[in-house]
Amino acid sequence: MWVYEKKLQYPVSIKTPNPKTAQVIISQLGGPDGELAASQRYLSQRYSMPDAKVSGLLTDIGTEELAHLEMIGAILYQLTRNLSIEEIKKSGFDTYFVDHTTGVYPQAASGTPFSGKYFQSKGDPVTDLFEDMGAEQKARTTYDNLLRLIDDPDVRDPLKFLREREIVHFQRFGEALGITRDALNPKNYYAYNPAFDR
Amino acid sequence: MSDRENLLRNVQIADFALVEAGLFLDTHPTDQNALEYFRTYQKELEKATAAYQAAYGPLTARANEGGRWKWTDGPAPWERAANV
Repeated sequence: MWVYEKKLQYPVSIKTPNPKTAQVIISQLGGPDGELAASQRYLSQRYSMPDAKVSGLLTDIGTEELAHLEMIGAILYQLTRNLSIEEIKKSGFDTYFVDHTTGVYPQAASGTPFSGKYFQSKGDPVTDLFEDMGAEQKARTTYDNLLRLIDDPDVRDPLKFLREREIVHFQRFGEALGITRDALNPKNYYAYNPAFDR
Repeated sequence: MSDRENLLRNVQIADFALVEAGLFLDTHPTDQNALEYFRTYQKELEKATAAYQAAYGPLTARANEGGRWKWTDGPAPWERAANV
Protein backbone atom coordinates (compact mmCIF):
# COMPACT_ATOMS: atom_id res chain seq x y z
CA MET A 1 0.00 0.00 0.00
CA TRP A 2 0.98 3.62 -0.19
CA VAL A 3 0.52 6.64 2.07
CA TYR A 4 0.53 10.14 0.60
CA GLU A 5 2.91 12.71 2.08
CA LYS A 6 1.77 16.27 1.56
CA LYS A 7 5.06 17.64 0.24
CA LEU A 8 7.19 17.52 -2.90
CA GLN A 9 10.36 15.44 -2.74
CA TYR A 10 12.31 18.56 -3.81
CA PRO A 11 10.93 22.12 -4.00
CA VAL A 12 9.44 23.55 -7.21
CA SER A 13 9.04 27.33 -7.22
CA ILE A 14 8.75 28.92 -10.65
CA LYS A 15 8.24 32.70 -10.76
CA THR A 16 7.64 33.10 -14.50
CA PRO A 17 5.09 30.97 -16.37
CA ASN A 18 6.23 29.72 -19.77
CA PRO A 19 3.89 27.44 -21.76
CA LYS A 20 6.53 26.77 -24.43
CA THR A 21 8.80 25.25 -21.76
CA ALA A 22 5.89 23.21 -20.34
CA GLN A 23 5.32 21.71 -23.77
CA VAL A 24 8.76 20.08 -23.83
CA ILE A 25 8.97 19.14 -20.13
CA ILE A 26 5.66 17.25 -20.45
CA SER A 27 7.64 14.40 -22.08
CA GLN A 28 9.01 13.57 -18.62
CA LEU A 29 5.41 13.14 -17.42
CA GLY A 30 3.90 10.94 -20.12
CA GLY A 31 6.61 10.47 -22.77
CA PRO A 32 8.50 7.28 -23.73
CA ASP A 33 11.20 7.75 -21.05
CA GLY A 34 9.12 9.75 -18.56
CA GLU A 35 8.36 9.31 -14.89
CA LEU A 36 4.96 7.64 -15.36
CA ALA A 37 6.53 4.91 -17.50
CA ALA A 38 9.36 4.56 -14.97
CA SER A 39 7.04 4.11 -12.00
CA GLN A 40 4.82 1.59 -13.76
CA ARG A 41 7.83 -0.30 -15.16
CA TYR A 42 9.40 -0.95 -11.75
CA LEU A 43 6.17 -1.47 -9.83
CA SER A 44 5.06 -4.03 -12.46
CA GLN A 45 8.37 -5.88 -12.74
CA ARG A 46 8.98 -6.33 -9.00
CA TYR A 47 6.61 -9.31 -8.65
CA SER A 48 8.82 -11.67 -10.66
CA MET A 49 12.13 -10.80 -8.97
CA PRO A 50 13.34 -13.90 -7.06
CA ASP A 51 15.61 -11.96 -4.67
CA ALA A 52 13.85 -9.98 -1.93
CA LYS A 53 16.57 -7.31 -2.00
CA VAL A 54 15.90 -6.70 -5.70
CA SER A 55 12.09 -6.68 -5.44
CA GLY A 56 12.51 -4.32 -2.47
CA LEU A 57 14.70 -2.01 -4.55
CA LEU A 58 12.15 -1.98 -7.39
CA THR A 59 9.40 -1.09 -4.92
CA ASP A 60 11.46 1.77 -3.47
CA ILE A 61 12.63 3.19 -6.81
CA GLY A 62 9.12 2.77 -8.29
CA THR A 63 7.77 4.71 -5.33
CA GLU A 64 10.36 7.46 -5.76
CA GLU A 65 9.33 7.73 -9.42
CA LEU A 66 5.79 8.59 -8.27
CA ALA A 67 7.32 11.50 -6.31
CA HIS A 68 9.14 12.55 -9.50
CA LEU A 69 5.89 12.33 -11.47
CA GLU A 70 4.43 14.76 -8.93
CA MET A 71 7.40 17.13 -9.27
CA ILE A 72 6.99 17.21 -13.06
CA GLY A 73 3.25 17.83 -12.56
CA ALA A 74 4.12 20.76 -10.26
CA ILE A 75 6.53 22.20 -12.84
CA LEU A 76 3.87 21.95 -15.59
CA TYR A 77 1.20 23.43 -13.33
CA GLN A 78 3.35 26.39 -12.31
CA LEU A 79 4.54 27.04 -15.88
CA THR A 80 0.95 27.34 -17.13
CA ARG A 81 -0.58 29.63 -14.49
CA ASN A 82 -2.45 32.81 -15.46
CA LEU A 83 -1.84 32.63 -19.20
CA SER A 84 -3.54 35.04 -21.57
CA ILE A 85 -5.04 33.77 -24.83
CA GLU A 86 -2.40 35.86 -26.64
CA GLU A 87 0.42 34.04 -24.82
CA ILE A 88 -1.22 30.67 -25.53
CA LYS A 89 -1.47 31.42 -29.25
CA LYS A 90 1.99 32.98 -29.57
CA SER A 91 3.80 30.15 -27.70
CA GLY A 92 2.26 27.30 -29.68
CA PHE A 93 0.57 26.00 -26.51
CA ASP A 94 -2.76 26.31 -28.34
CA THR A 95 -2.53 22.74 -29.70
CA TYR A 96 -2.42 21.41 -26.12
CA PHE A 97 -4.88 23.97 -24.77
CA VAL A 98 -7.64 22.92 -27.17
CA ASP A 99 -7.81 19.42 -25.65
CA HIS A 100 -6.72 19.97 -22.02
CA THR A 101 -6.98 23.72 -21.25
CA THR A 102 -4.21 23.98 -18.61
CA GLY A 103 -4.95 20.58 -17.05
CA VAL A 104 -2.01 18.22 -16.55
CA TYR A 105 -2.28 15.25 -18.93
CA PRO A 106 0.38 12.55 -19.47
CA GLN A 107 1.67 12.85 -23.01
CA ALA A 108 4.98 13.20 -24.88
CA ALA A 109 6.26 16.54 -26.17
CA SER A 110 5.06 15.41 -29.61
CA GLY A 111 1.47 15.24 -28.29
CA THR A 112 1.33 11.41 -28.26
CA PRO A 113 -0.64 10.29 -25.17
CA PHE A 114 1.04 8.06 -22.57
CA SER A 115 1.09 4.39 -23.50
CA GLY A 116 1.87 1.11 -21.75
CA LYS A 117 3.93 0.39 -24.88
CA TYR A 118 6.71 2.51 -23.32
CA PHE A 119 7.79 -0.26 -20.95
CA GLN A 120 8.03 -4.01 -20.58
CA SER A 121 7.51 -6.46 -17.76
CA LYS A 122 9.18 -9.50 -19.28
CA GLY A 123 9.05 -11.79 -16.26
CA ASP A 124 12.78 -12.53 -16.59
CA PRO A 125 14.88 -10.77 -13.92
CA VAL A 126 18.08 -10.32 -15.99
CA THR A 127 16.10 -9.04 -18.98
CA ASP A 128 14.02 -6.64 -16.88
CA LEU A 129 17.02 -5.23 -14.98
CA PHE A 130 18.83 -4.50 -18.25
CA GLU A 131 15.73 -2.62 -19.42
CA ASP A 132 15.74 -0.67 -16.15
CA MET A 133 19.36 0.39 -16.53
CA GLY A 134 18.67 1.48 -20.11
CA ALA A 135 15.53 3.33 -18.99
CA GLU A 136 17.45 5.35 -16.39
CA GLN A 137 20.04 6.34 -19.00
CA LYS A 138 17.33 7.31 -21.51
CA ALA A 139 15.63 9.46 -18.86
CA ARG A 140 19.00 11.05 -18.01
CA THR A 141 19.52 11.90 -21.71
CA THR A 142 16.04 13.44 -21.82
CA TYR A 143 16.88 15.64 -18.81
CA ASP A 144 20.19 16.58 -20.50
CA ASN A 145 18.23 17.63 -23.60
CA LEU A 146 15.74 19.64 -21.51
CA LEU A 147 18.64 21.40 -19.77
CA ARG A 148 20.03 22.31 -23.20
CA LEU A 149 16.68 23.90 -24.14
CA ILE A 150 15.81 25.72 -20.89
CA ASP A 151 17.49 28.81 -19.39
CA ASP A 152 15.22 29.69 -16.42
CA PRO A 153 17.14 28.75 -13.22
CA ASP A 154 13.83 28.16 -11.36
CA VAL A 155 13.04 25.38 -13.86
CA ARG A 156 16.59 24.06 -14.24
CA ASP A 157 17.06 23.51 -10.50
CA PRO A 158 14.45 20.75 -10.01
CA LEU A 159 15.35 19.25 -13.44
CA LYS A 160 18.99 18.94 -12.29
CA PHE A 161 17.84 17.17 -9.13
CA LEU A 162 15.76 14.72 -11.19
CA ARG A 163 18.66 14.13 -13.60
CA GLU A 164 20.92 13.17 -10.70
CA ARG A 165 18.35 10.68 -9.44
CA GLU A 166 18.46 8.86 -12.79
CA ILE A 167 22.21 8.34 -12.31
CA VAL A 168 21.76 7.00 -8.75
CA HIS A 169 18.99 4.64 -9.85
CA PHE A 170 21.16 3.35 -12.72
CA GLN A 171 23.89 2.57 -10.17
CA ARG A 172 21.49 0.73 -7.84
CA PHE A 173 20.00 -1.31 -10.71
CA GLY A 174 23.51 -2.33 -11.75
CA GLU A 175 24.04 -3.68 -8.22
CA ALA A 176 20.68 -5.45 -8.35
CA LEU A 177 21.75 -7.12 -11.61
CA GLY A 178 24.93 -8.29 -9.84
CA ILE A 179 22.93 -9.70 -6.91
CA THR A 180 20.61 -11.49 -9.36
CA ARG A 181 23.49 -12.98 -11.37
CA ASP A 182 25.31 -14.16 -8.22
CA ALA A 183 22.43 -16.59 -7.67
CA LEU A 184 22.64 -17.95 -11.24
CA ASN A 185 25.05 -20.30 -13.02
CA PRO A 186 28.15 -18.10 -13.67
CA LYS A 187 28.97 -20.14 -16.80
CA ASN A 188 25.57 -19.41 -18.33
CA TYR A 189 23.29 -16.77 -16.78
CA TYR A 190 20.67 -17.69 -19.34
CA ALA A 191 20.56 -21.44 -18.54
CA TYR A 192 17.16 -20.87 -16.98
CA ASN A 193 14.76 -18.10 -15.97
CA PRO A 194 14.74 -17.97 -12.14
CA ALA A 195 11.28 -16.37 -12.18
CA PHE A 196 9.76 -19.31 -14.09
CA ASP A 197 11.87 -22.47 -14.34
CA ARG A 198 12.09 -24.70 -11.29
CA MET B 1 12.30 31.74 2.80
CA SER B 2 9.18 31.72 5.00
CA ASP B 3 9.14 30.03 8.40
CA ARG B 4 6.83 27.42 6.94
CA GLU B 5 9.18 26.71 4.06
CA ASN B 6 12.15 26.60 6.42
CA LEU B 7 10.46 23.92 8.54
CA LEU B 8 9.34 22.03 5.43
CA ARG B 9 12.88 22.12 4.01
CA ASN B 10 14.18 20.40 7.17
CA VAL B 11 11.63 17.61 6.59
CA GLN B 12 12.59 17.33 2.90
CA ILE B 13 16.31 17.16 3.72
CA ALA B 14 15.91 14.39 6.31
CA ASP B 15 13.42 12.53 4.12
CA PHE B 16 15.75 12.68 1.13
CA ALA B 17 18.70 11.39 3.19
CA LEU B 18 16.56 8.42 4.21
CA VAL B 19 15.36 7.73 0.64
CA GLU B 20 18.92 7.84 -0.67
CA ALA B 21 20.40 5.74 2.16
CA GLY B 22 17.45 3.35 1.91
CA LEU B 23 18.13 2.60 -1.77
CA PHE B 24 21.80 2.00 -0.94
CA LEU B 25 20.85 -0.29 1.94
CA ASP B 26 18.54 -2.29 -0.35
CA THR B 27 21.67 -3.52 -2.15
CA HIS B 28 24.11 -3.21 0.81
CA PRO B 29 21.98 -4.36 3.79
CA THR B 30 24.92 -5.00 6.15
CA ASP B 31 26.82 -1.74 5.59
CA GLN B 32 27.27 -0.40 9.13
CA ASN B 33 28.17 3.15 8.05
CA ALA B 34 25.00 3.37 5.98
CA LEU B 35 22.92 2.00 8.85
CA GLU B 36 24.43 4.58 11.23
CA TYR B 37 23.69 7.35 8.69
CA PHE B 38 20.12 6.03 8.37
CA ARG B 39 19.58 6.07 12.15
CA THR B 40 20.88 9.67 12.35
CA TYR B 41 18.35 10.88 9.78
CA GLN B 42 15.50 8.84 11.28
CA LYS B 43 15.91 11.01 14.37
CA GLU B 44 16.23 14.19 12.26
CA LEU B 45 13.06 13.35 10.34
CA GLU B 46 11.13 12.70 13.53
CA LYS B 47 12.17 16.09 14.95
CA ALA B 48 11.60 18.00 11.71
CA THR B 49 8.19 16.41 11.11
CA ALA B 50 7.02 17.18 14.65
CA ALA B 51 8.17 20.82 14.34
CA TYR B 52 6.44 21.31 10.97
CA GLN B 53 3.20 19.59 11.91
CA ALA B 54 2.87 21.47 15.22
CA ALA B 55 2.90 24.77 13.31
CA TYR B 56 1.46 24.02 9.87
CA GLY B 57 -0.69 20.91 10.06
CA PRO B 58 -0.42 17.25 9.12
CA LEU B 59 1.93 15.93 6.42
CA THR B 60 -0.02 12.65 6.34
CA ALA B 61 -3.77 12.27 6.92
CA ARG B 62 -3.14 9.95 9.88
CA ALA B 63 -1.21 12.75 11.66
CA ASN B 64 -4.30 14.98 11.88
CA GLU B 65 -4.92 16.11 15.45
CA GLY B 66 -7.52 18.16 17.33
CA GLY B 67 -11.10 19.10 16.66
CA ARG B 68 -10.72 20.13 13.03
CA TRP B 69 -9.85 18.25 9.82
CA LYS B 70 -6.73 20.15 8.65
CA TRP B 71 -5.48 17.52 6.17
CA THR B 72 -7.03 19.19 3.13
CA ASP B 73 -6.04 22.77 4.05
CA GLY B 74 -4.13 24.51 1.25
CA PRO B 75 -1.80 25.24 -0.30
CA ALA B 76 -1.40 21.94 -2.18
CA PRO B 77 2.23 20.77 -2.45
CA TRP B 78 2.40 21.65 -6.16
CA GLU B 79 1.40 25.29 -5.59
CA ARG B 80 4.26 27.79 -5.64
CA ALA B 81 2.91 29.10 -2.31
CA ALA B 82 3.79 25.74 -0.72
CA ASN B 83 7.40 26.07 -1.90
CA VAL B 84 8.46 29.62 -0.98
